[in-house]
Amino acid sequence: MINTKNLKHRLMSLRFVLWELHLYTDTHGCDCETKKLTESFRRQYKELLKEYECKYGPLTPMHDEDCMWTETPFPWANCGGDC
Amino acid sequence: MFQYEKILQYPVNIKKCNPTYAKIIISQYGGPDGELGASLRYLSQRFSMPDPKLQGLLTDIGTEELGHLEMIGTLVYQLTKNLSCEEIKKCGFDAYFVDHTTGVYPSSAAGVPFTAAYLQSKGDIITDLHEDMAAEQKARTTYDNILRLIDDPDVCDVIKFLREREIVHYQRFGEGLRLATDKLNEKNFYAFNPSFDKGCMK
Repeated sequence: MINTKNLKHRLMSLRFVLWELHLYTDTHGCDCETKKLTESFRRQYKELLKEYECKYGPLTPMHDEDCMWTETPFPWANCGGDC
Repeated sequence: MFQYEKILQYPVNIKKCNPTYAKIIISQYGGPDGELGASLRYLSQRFSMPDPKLQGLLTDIGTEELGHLEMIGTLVYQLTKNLSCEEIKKCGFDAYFVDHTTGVYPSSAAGVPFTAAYLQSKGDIITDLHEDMAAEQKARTTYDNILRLIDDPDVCDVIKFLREREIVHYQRFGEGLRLATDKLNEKNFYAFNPSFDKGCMK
């Protein structure tokens, strides 16, 4: 269940919205409304991603500036919903 | 190329181990209508898709299915963590355990190992898109069946999310099929293969 107070869950929600919009444009093209929605969610995502990576480490190897890739848990680890 | 992102598409945090559920859910990892078959199907079919919109759609949905494969693997891993030998025997997990311990192995609920015979890549736009729509419905039915067999709310929540994704993908593939037929010569939809026979696109 998504907990809106949880930073990781908030990031997941924004990623989900952006992904749904992207899949939609695959078959519908990008109209004005979709473009506006995508831009606004992408701005929020970029900000939250910065905060998330500061706290939990890099999301992808390309963001791994401080060699933290194997220092932070992989997503299948069960953290009891706290992370 | 593909690049890994260290986050699940939807949170999985199972509080109660249950190897019986793991045995059922593994079917969506490596079973006949599972996520591994789905991702391989779409990521293979995309090479011969003649339209860039459909190449994009298959790439995107195939990639999302890899994310779902990871979520199913996570469910199986968390449901089988810290098991005692008594629990393994009591829950009928012994047949799986003897071959794989608690490693996540692509097989069906009945223990049949994954095979590429579960999927097709026919190299024909109409044939492949129909296969894809059918595949989404078959996966949706499997998730419905899983929901009939389990009652842990933490597990059900994840399965419901995955079930909904099958419906969205079915919808997108349906639109893809419409885009494909709109571009074909309507007098002759099924008599040729646009990937192979030249001059049949409008």
